Amino acid sequence: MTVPFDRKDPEVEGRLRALLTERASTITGPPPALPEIAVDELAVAARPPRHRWVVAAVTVAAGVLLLGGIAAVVDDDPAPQQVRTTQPADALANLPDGFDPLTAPAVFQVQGNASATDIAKRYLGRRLGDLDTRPEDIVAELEFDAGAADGAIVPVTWRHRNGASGSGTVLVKLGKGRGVIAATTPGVDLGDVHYEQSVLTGHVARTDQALPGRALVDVLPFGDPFATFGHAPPPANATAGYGSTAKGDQAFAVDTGEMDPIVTVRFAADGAVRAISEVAFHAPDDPSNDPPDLANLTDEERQQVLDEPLPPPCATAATDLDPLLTHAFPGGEGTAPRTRAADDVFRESQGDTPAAAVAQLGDDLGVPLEAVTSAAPMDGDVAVGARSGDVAVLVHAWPHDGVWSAAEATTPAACWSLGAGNLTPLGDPHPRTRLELSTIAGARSGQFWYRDEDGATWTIALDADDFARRNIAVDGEYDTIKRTALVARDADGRVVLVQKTSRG
Amino acid sequence: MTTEETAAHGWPPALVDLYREEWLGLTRLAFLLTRDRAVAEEIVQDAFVAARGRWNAIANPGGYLRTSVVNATRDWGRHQQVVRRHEPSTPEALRAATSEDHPDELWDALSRLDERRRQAVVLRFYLDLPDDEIAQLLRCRPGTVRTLIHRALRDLRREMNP
Repeated sequence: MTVPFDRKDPEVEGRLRALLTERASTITGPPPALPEIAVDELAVAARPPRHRWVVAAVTVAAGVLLLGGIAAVVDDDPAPQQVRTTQPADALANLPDGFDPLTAPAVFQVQGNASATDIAKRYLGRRLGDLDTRPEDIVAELEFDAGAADGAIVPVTWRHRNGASGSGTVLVKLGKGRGVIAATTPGVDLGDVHYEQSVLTGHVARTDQALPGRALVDVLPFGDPFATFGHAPPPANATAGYGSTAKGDQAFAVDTGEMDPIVTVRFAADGAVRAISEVAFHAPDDPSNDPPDLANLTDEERQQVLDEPLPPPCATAATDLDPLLTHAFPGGEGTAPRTRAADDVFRESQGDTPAAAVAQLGDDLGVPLEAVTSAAPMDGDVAVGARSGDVAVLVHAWPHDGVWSAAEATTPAACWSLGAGNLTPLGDPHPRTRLELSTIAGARSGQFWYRDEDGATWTIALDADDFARRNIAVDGEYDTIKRTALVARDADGRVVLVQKTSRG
Repeated sequence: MTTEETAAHGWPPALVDLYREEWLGLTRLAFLLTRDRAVAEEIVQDAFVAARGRWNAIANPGGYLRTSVVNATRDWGRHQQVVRRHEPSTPEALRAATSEDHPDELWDALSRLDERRRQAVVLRFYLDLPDDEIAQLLRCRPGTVRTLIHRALRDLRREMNP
């Protein structure tokens, strides 16, 4: 079964297993002797010392050294347009304290051997403008200057040709993992953005009031730089850590947990993004990841630590549906009634632009779906932040042969369930499979689709009991079910969840 | 070194037996997470030294040791990040960051993964641990594990298919 966020890749997985086994086998025994320890040391806790303060101090020192600059010059830009004076240190001035270009993760990656300027063009083509303008048309309105390289880092300054609609600098990293590691806007200072434990907090200082439009600040999980909420305020069901929008000059505080975040400040005017600052952070490690100091605990406390339950998943949805959660696991009862779907909801929804493809995907699922904004974690593919009514929906879109396709719709506030398993022994003449349902607070009815191995699409009407149980049983073996889609609605019929699995 | 000899040196016999049984597996795990045999051996031995001090309080020694090893490799990785910040960003340094002893595209790509993603990949594809056990080791939710692995596989595909 193809699932959207834990997609199987037999080739890579097989190579990984073989590689790890082969490399591990290079370690052979016997073990070295244990160190001799005096008996009177037995009462001493022997945990190796940790020196977090040293790490912190060295990190600060590294940041200071970094700002001093590095002399080496590497510039693979094949056609520098003029002599530049911009230095990486200038571009770093508006970035968070401690920003380290040598270790900073890319906020936008590019494959191949593109020059620094080409990488900046691809990045800005995805980040600026609106969803109805092609990236190449957006970039055509910009002028670029690649600056002097500092090691593998090249600053590329840009400005609108009309001179009035925004400018900035894109820090490009060349070599392995090439891409954009940060973007800055003159007059926008991210220096105050910092971590306090697991909370990313700070204030985006804006000293240049002539910047176009209003500023929007998003804090988004690294790897999923979806600008979910676009130019509108975040929805009420936005979950902490998955994205938060602060208006312009307001301070923000987002608990990112263990996920590395990206901070994006966009300046939007007339429905289009005119300038951008963007940088990724490494989330601090959680000290609770350290082994518990069991020696200082009572037996009861120790057992509690060892048996510490993980946070219950989908707490919101579970609370909402709690009165109904007494339903039995679907096993004894029959499979859910299904009907053959007339429309193929699993076709590639296509359009001339990402927005058109997203709207088509909504039509295919029978729900309104409007693209709001987009971000591109990779060159080519685009993550589109859309809305179905009041619900934020993320859609994966990609271009090919001049046409955009959209798939992989998800609702970030939902509790995802992608599990499935056979309810009957393999080879059973009447095989049945349990499919877990995603759900969300308020889900009371819905429609579920799945495609079988013969290419037939089936649909099942869902009621509140199904969402409470979060399981349905369907005919067929697990391996024969290839793709799924789900739309859930609240008691008033409003869409609360949209999900469609990957391209398959 | 016999059980009797080590016990005389302050090691509980049961822990010595466990050391013999688990050393190889734990060291291989630590090696995959650090890519450095010497460091791996040191981490595993430190884990046993730590366990010795709490031996009477540990209900699940195998699980405790595995957790200790995974956590120690994370600490080591953190330290290496700091070390790398002080190294000049030369092509030589970048090449040194990858393995030259065992040239392999996938191995090098694995070494460049975000640390938590690499941990999740090793625990899944080497130890074949299920999501919930990996989640307990990494102290996160099973859903986070799936996310880490998904992103790791995506990153690896991108690294290998530029």
